[in-house]
Amino acid sequence: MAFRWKGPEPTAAAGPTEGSSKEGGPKKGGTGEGQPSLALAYALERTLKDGKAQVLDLGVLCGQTATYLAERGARVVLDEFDPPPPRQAPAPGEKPLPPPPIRLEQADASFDLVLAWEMPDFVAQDQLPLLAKEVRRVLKPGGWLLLYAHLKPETPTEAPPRYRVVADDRVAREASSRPVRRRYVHPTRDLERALAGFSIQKTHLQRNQMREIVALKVIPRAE
Amino acid sequence: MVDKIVHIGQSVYIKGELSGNEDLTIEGKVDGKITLKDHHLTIGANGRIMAEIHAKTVLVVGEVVGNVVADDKVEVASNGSMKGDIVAPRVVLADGARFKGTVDMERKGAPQQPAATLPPQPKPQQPAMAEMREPVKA
Repeated sequence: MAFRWKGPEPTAAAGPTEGSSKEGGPKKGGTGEGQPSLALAYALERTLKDGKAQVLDLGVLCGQTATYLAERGARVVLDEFDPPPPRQAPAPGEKPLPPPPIRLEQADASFDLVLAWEMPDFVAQDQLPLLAKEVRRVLKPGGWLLLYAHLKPETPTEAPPRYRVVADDRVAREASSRPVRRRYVHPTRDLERALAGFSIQKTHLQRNQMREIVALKVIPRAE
Repeated sequence: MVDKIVHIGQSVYIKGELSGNEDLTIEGKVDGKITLKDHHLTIGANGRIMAEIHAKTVLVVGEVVGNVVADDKVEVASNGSMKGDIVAPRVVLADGARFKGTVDMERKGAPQQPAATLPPQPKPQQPAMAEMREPVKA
């Protein structure tokens, strides 16, 4: 007898939650849903071909993204990154406090790809190097980092969006119900400085003023 | 004929190993291990599970802490919460569900790509920043 769920049925609004199929092949273009992402295509092409890739998704939980990547043979770890809240300005005459540490709960050198999506936009400029250092720590040598960063004018607060991968080269940006955070606009030079220990392989500027960056963890000769 | 579904009520607390050959709905609390290899397990909205789970299909509407292995499907409903690793050929994480862990959809018997045939990694290139320009600040 066919099994029937006794719990609530997924709602129609739960678009990103559709069940995964057993077809795990790469998808290109698809139905035109979402926006093109050359950086995503570049990163997935280099990581998913290696069999059992380990992928860390630091973005807002999106079931369809997780299942999409898992169908492609990746082992996907979902670890929603909670951007640190903005710090209080120091009182007059006091030294500014050092930025609070950023720590990912993952082991060293355990991932082939880290999907940071727009999370750097919700991290203050002086904390960007800390985030990049943590991402570098959890990446394997030769591992890849994908991040998006807006050039749109700064907004006081915004909820970190959710990214739904609809094809290897397309992604849909959706609103999420996460707590709102201040969103920063980081100049490209700040992002490049923060990404010490990475080699930026691709940077694309989308029409919507989104920068897409793919970086490779490089090992200094001394290591 | 209607399949029997065993129901563990909200006031029941089980500590240990739970196994069976019937579909099961848990609204209570279970600590330990649950094995329903060819059957369906539903963790109801009031269910609080801290266990390793192996079943044919698993639906999480309540709360699960522990790894889940399903031969067919795992679904975490929109008000469900799960902390642990999922191994199943089909996985659904509903919008609004809370999940922290790993999703592994490796299929049984799927051929693994031999490591010896993997293509070489591309060499790191110099930063390619030519495709964009910094905005001019007034």
